Amino acid sequence: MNVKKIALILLPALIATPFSISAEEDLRTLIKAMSTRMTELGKQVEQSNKHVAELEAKLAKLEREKAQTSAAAPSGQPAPVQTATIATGSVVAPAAEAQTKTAPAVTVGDAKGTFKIPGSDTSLGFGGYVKLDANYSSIGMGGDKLGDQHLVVAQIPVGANRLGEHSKATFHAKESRFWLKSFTPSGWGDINTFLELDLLGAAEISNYTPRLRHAYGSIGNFLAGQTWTTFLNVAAIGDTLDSAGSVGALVYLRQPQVRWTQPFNLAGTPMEFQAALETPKSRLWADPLSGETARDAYGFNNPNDERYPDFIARLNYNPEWGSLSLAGMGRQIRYTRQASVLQQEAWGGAVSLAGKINTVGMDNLRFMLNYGNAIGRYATFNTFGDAVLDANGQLQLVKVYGGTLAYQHWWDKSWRSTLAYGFVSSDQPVFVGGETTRRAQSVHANLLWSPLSQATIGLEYIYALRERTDNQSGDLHRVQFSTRFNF
Amino acid sequence: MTQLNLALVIGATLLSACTATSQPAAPAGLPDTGQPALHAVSDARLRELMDQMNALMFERFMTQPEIDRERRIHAQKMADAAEKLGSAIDAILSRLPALNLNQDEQLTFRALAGKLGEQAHALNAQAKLNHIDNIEPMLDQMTATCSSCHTLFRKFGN
Repeated sequence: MNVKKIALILLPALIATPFSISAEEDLRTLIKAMSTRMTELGKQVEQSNKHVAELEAKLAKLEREKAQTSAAAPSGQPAPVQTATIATGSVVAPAAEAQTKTAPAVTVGDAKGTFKIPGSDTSLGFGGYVKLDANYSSIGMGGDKLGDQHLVVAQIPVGANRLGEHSKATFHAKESRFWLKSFTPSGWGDINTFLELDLLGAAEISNYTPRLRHAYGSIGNFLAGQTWTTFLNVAAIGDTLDSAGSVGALVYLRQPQVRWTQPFNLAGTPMEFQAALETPKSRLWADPLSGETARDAYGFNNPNDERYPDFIARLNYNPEWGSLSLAGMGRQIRYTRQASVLQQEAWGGAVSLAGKINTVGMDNLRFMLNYGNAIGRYATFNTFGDAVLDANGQLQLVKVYGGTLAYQHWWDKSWRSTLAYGFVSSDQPVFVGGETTRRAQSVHANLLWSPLSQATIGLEYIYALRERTDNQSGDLHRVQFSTRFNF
Repeated sequence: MTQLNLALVIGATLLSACTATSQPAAPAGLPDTGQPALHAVSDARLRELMDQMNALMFERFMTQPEIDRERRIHAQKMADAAEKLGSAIDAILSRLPALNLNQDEQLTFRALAGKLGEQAHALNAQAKLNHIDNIEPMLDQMTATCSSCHTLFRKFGN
């Protein structure tokens, strides 16, 4: 067989979809059949062109007649419109026909899962997921507590509080979410809006009160509304089934804010500088002798007397191998007592280094390291105060530091696992006692299966250890089974 | 070089241009353009970016606008990778005169590479338009083109 023959055989093979050639004879037959087919197609094209030419001539004639009719109609009166008879013999009303012709169609939007609102450039989308969490814990949190639904290390019973609390099963679907988003291009930059709710608005297991998670809008580089605190690098959050995650991570705090994001490049690597003003909220632990008695469900006092917002700045570095962020925060912690002249305030700060590093294949390493003397409200779900009030009503800031490390391994495109470890510790003054947590650790290990992008089923083991300021400790072992179905 | 070896040369050049299957070594004497490596890198890069984009579906902490932004960034990277892949094919074609192929052989070669080039160009266009849902089927089509070429040339190589 010479090269010419090879070329002649290969050429039609290019046009065809993938197939396997087992014998030269088969190919010859195929070429012959294709040649015949090509001839037939050529004749069909000729006929089609002729038909198109006829239709174009008819259309031109109709347009000429329409133009003549319009010119003959009296001024101020609409031109008569001929009713159209369709094949079945029914008649389409002129107004309906006009509406059909002019009504803009709904088209695919500019972002995945969106559609364009007819007559506008706005792409609108909605979605969410339904998630069931079934937990089996080695110890109950005591009463109807949120800590039975996701990890709240501050609620792990310690010492005598463990008496009467044994293994506990909890089923709930409160993490289920619904969201609505829009995207509109504009001369000022893209306009995005996002609204998201879940059902974790109340601590009671049977109370499905909706809770606002996100409600924000952005135009270009400017964002305003409630969303993740700028201090938190969301990309560094481990992929745990437990919605509270590792104790060493910053609490997944969402709060009202205004934020500016300035992208730039450094040596060809994309970077961002973010500056934000976020809602302030001082949270204190008060010595019982101080006279302050108001306490929330976690034993903290929230004076609600802030004067300045929380100031946050963050630098994001986004090379090909992942992302890194360095965040800094300045806050004023303030306390005043009603019907008294007592006023205490102190400025503090915090830093956070976080990132996600791509390792092998789809695997990645996520981490956070946090330190500060005004980070209590931002660290570990409702575990630490920002400051303490001593018996004389004097305010002292509390240093808190922690970190987390999570490795995600993809077994294949459907199966993945995350192993996460976290720790957090606080320098509590000696007079702080009772139920206050001094330090905590946690481990999360899971196996998740996503046979489809819309469905995830997984099993997770959680271990957490809580140590109080009185040196007593308590631990928790939990197995969590979860299903998540996106819509 | 015999005619059969010449056919093998063409086959080996194209085989090395795709990463979907194993790559047999090219016969000695084949001019080293360096371009197949670039082609292979671009193809692997496209797959890697697609996997990363699909993984975004499982991120439940990022907000939807953040995920959309990440998708646009990945789509832009895919457009760049597809453009490089297209350039690699052009470079391979530019080496044709050095291979001393006759007209029919060149026609075959051009058609094979051209199909892959057109697919890369179409992928580039879809990625630039941020048509995320169209990208993966197009990648599958490119893989199918690679696989069918490999199968075809291996058959003739036997």
